[in-house]
Amino acid sequence: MLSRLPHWVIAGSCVFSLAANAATWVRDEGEAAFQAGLDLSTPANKYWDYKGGTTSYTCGQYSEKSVNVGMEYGYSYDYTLMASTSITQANCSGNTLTRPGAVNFGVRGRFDERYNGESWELKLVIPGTVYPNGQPAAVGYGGLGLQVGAYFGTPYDPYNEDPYRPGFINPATDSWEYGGALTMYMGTPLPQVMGYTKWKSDLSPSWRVAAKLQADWTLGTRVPIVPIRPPLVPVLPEARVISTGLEFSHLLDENLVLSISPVIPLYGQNAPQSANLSIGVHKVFPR
Amino acid sequence: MVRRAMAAFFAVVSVFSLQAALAQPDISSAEVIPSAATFDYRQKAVLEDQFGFDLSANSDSPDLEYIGPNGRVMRGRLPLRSLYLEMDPHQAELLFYKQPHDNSSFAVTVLQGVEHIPGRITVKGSSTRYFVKKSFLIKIDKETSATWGGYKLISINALVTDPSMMREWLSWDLARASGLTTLNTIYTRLYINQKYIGLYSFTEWVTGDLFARAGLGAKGELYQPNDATYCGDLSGGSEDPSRHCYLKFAPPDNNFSSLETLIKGVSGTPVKDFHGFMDNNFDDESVINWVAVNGLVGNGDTYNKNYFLYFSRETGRWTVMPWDYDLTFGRSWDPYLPSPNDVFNDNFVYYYTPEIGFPGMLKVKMLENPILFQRFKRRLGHLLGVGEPDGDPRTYGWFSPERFAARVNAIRYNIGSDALLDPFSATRLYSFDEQADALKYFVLGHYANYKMRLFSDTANWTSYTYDPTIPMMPPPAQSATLNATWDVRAPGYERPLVDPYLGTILAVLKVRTISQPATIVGKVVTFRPPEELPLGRVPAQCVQRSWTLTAKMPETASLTSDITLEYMQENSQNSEVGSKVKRQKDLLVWMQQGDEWEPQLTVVNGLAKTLTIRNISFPPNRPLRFVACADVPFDMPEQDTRLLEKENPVSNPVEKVYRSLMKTISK
Repeated sequence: MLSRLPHWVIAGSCVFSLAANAATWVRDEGEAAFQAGLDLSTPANKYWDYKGGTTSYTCGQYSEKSVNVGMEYGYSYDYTLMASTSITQANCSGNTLTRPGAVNFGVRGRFDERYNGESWELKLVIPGTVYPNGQPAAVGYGGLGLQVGAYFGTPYDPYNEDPYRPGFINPATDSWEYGGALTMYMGTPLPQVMGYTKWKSDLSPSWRVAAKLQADWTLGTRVPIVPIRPPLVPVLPEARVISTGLEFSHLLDENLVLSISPVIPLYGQNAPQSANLSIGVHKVFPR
Repeated sequence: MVRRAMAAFFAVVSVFSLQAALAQPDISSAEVIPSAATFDYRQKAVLEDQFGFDLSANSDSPDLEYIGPNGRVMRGRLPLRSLYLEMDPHQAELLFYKQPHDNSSFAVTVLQGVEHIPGRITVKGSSTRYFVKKSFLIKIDKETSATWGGYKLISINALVTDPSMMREWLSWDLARASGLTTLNTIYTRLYINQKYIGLYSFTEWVTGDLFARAGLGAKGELYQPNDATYCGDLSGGSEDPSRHCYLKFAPPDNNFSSLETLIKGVSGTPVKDFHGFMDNNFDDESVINWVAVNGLVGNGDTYNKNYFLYFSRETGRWTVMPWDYDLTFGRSWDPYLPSPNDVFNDNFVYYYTPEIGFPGMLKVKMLENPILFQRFKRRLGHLLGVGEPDGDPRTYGWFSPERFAARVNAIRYNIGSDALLDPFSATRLYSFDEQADALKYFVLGHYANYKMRLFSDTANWTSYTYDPTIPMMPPPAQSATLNATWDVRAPGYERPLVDPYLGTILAVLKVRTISQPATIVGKVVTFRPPEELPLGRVPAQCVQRSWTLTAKMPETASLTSDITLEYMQENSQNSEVGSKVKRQKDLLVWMQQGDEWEPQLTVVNGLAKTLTIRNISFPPNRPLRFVACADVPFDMPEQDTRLLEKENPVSNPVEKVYRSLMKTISK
C-alpha cells in the first residue's frame, strides 16, 4: 500500500506554542516528545511602565535570552503528561543576570473523545527560585501556581475519510487555532490570563506558516516595575502585553520540526519594548 | 462430455486422499492432496484451446484447493476462524472513530472457550487508517501464558482497500504454491462485545518464528525496506545510513553489516555471473518465486518497499518474503490522479509484463541474466500451467484461469454472507459479485497475455534488458488493431480470442450451440472512436473501441454464443471510456447486422471493464459489429448541490472562517 502519512499529524500539529508551551493535541499512548527553544529579544532602551507609558531604562539597553525545554508523554488515549522549564538571562549594557524560571508539570486531556485537536490543560507552576525581598518582578518568582487552559484547533473528521465513500475531503491545508489559560498563584504574583488566536497554513508538505495574535494580561493592580538597576531583574511577570508574530515551521523529517517565530509587542504595561525571536526544535518519539 | 474431460484432467493433478487429516482444528475438515505420479500436461493445452475455461467451476461448493501449513496442498472447507473480544463499549466505539493515526491502546479480553485472555488492542496500518473499518493488533499480556491459537500477537487486517476481500488470500496462497516462505493467514470473523464487526484476515506477525518453520532458524536477521523512503531496492548506495532505506527488526540493533555486504554483492556482481551470486547468497528459488508471483498477480507496489529480507544464520543465505498484496489483480496506482484517488480508483489493468514494479537492482539483474531468466520463465510456466511442469505437479497450473476461478467461487461461497453483512461496505461502488468476477477475468486476461507473449510461437518477451530511459509512468495508449482466429468445433466454456502479438483479448466466447465446425475471426480497433454508431449517438458517449466478429462456416450452419467484450481504463489518461459516459453501468452493447443496429441486453462489469451479451446468433460468413454506448441523455440534469457540498470544500476564506466559527460554537 502506498504510504500517505500526514506528517503534520505525527509531528507538526503539536508544535509547542513557544510562549505558553500549550498545544491542542493530545498525544498517542506511549508517544513522547521533546522540545527545546531559544528566545532572543532585541535590545531596547525603553519599556512600557505599569500605566502603559513609555519610560527609558535607567541602566541603558536592555535585552533577554531565554532557553526553554519541555517534554510530553502520552500516558493514555485520554491524557498527556507535560513538564517544562526555562532559564533566562537579562542583559543591560553589559550587566547580566541569569535566573531559572518556573517548573511546570501538567496534564492535557480531550474535550471530545472522538477527535483530537481540542484540549484542556491543567498545570502546576512551581517557582524556580526564591527571590530576595523587594524583587517581586522576576522570572520564576512567586508562590505555587495553578494554570487552567483550553485550546481549540481543527479536529479530524474520520467520518469523511473513507476514500471509497463519495464526498472524500482531503485534510485541510489551512486552519485556525485559538485558546486561553488562567494562572492563579498562592500569594504573588497576581492572576494572569493568556489568550491567543493563530491561523496556520501549509505551504508545502514540509513547510507551515502561522500568524498569531496573543494577549498576556495580569488581572488586578500590578506591582509597579522595579527600577532596573543592579542587581538586574529579568522579565516582568505582572505585565500586560499584546503581541503579534509569525511562526515558520519546517519538518526536517517526519518526527522532527524546526520552528522560527518572530514576535513584536503591540502594546504593553510593565513590559519591555523589544521584539522577540524564538527558535525551537521539536522531536517526537512515536510509540 | 466437456466437463468430464476437464474433470478427468484435474483429477490426475489434484487427487486427494481421505486418509490425510490435519491436526489444526481450524482446518480439520481439509485433506492433504497427495503428490500425483505423472500427468500429460499437453492434454491441458489441447482442452483449453478447444473448450476454454469454466469460470463458474466449483460455484456451488464450499470446498476448495489451497496451500495449507508448511506448503501442504489441501482440499476442503475454506479455513475460517472467529475472534471474540470484550472491551469497554465506549472504547470499542473509539477504536473506529478516533482520529486515524492515533496509536493508543485499550484494554481488551480475548474470549477463547472458557478462557478470558487479557490484552491490549490498538489500530494498525498506514493509509488504511483512513477507512472507518480499521485493522487491529491485539497484544496478549505477557503475564499470561495463554495464547490465541498459539499466538500472543493477533494481527488482523481489515481487507478494507480490497472490496473483494480476496486479493491478500489469493496472493499469499499463490506465494505458498510457488514455494516462497510465507506467514500464516486465515480469514477471521471479528466480534466485539458480541457484535459482528466484519471479516478480517489474521496475518501472522513477522518474526523469526515463521522462518524457523521453513528450516531457516529463528535467530536470523530480519530487515524491511522503509515504507516512507522508497529507496530500499538493494541498489548501490541504498545502504547509506543517512537515507534510511531499511529498517532492521531482528536482532534489535543497528548493525547493518550483513545487509551492506548483500547490497554490495548485488550491485557489484556482473549480470553474466549473477546466477552464481544468487545461488550462493539466496535460499533456493526465493527471488525467482517472488518476482514470478508479483508478475502473476500484477503487484507493482514493490521491489523498493513491501518485502522482507531474512538472513539465516543456519544456512548463511538470504530469503525474500513478500508483503502487502492489496494493490494487485488489476488494482493499480494512477500517476495522474491526486491522492487518495491515485490508489483508490476504479481503474483496472490487465496486461503488464512480469517485470511490473519498481526496477529494483535485484529484480533487474535476475531478469537480465539469461540463465536466471529461463529459470524464471519455467517457474511462471509452471504456475500458469503452460509448457512443461517445473516442480510439484499438484501446483502445476495453480494460476490457470479455471483452477483460479474455482478457488474464487468457493471463497465467494464461504464469505459472501460476510460481504453482505459488512457494515462498512454499504457505499461501495461495485457489488461483491462484480469484484469476484473481476478477479477471475483478470486472471483470464493475464494468463492469455503471458501465454501468448512468453510461451507461444509469436512470443516477444523472450529476454529482458532494463532500459532506464523508459519512464515509470505508463505510456499514453495508442490505437491498435487486434486480430485473432479460433477454430471451434463444440460448445464449451469461456474461450478468449487473443491477439498473437500483443497478447490482449479481443473477446471471450462461450459457445452454446454449434451445428458444424467454424472459424471465428475477430478484429478489434482500440483507442479510436467507432467509424459507425447507432443513430443519435455521438462518439463521446461511447467506448472508443469497436469489435467485429465473423463466423466462417457453411451457409447452412448455425452458431450461438455468449460474448464478453472488454474495454480499457488503465488510468485516468489511458481510457477508452467516452467523456460523456457518466456511469459505466449504463453502457449498452449495440450490434450491427447489415445496416441495422440493435441494442443488446448487456451485463456490465464496470470494474472489470467487461460487457457481456448472451445467446448471440452468428450469421454464416457475415460480420457482426459491436459498439458500446451509454444509452442515457448526456445532458444530465444539474445534480442536487446539497449532495455535492462535501465534495466542494469552501474556498472563500471568509466563509471558511465563519463556518469554522459557527461549527465550534454549535459544538
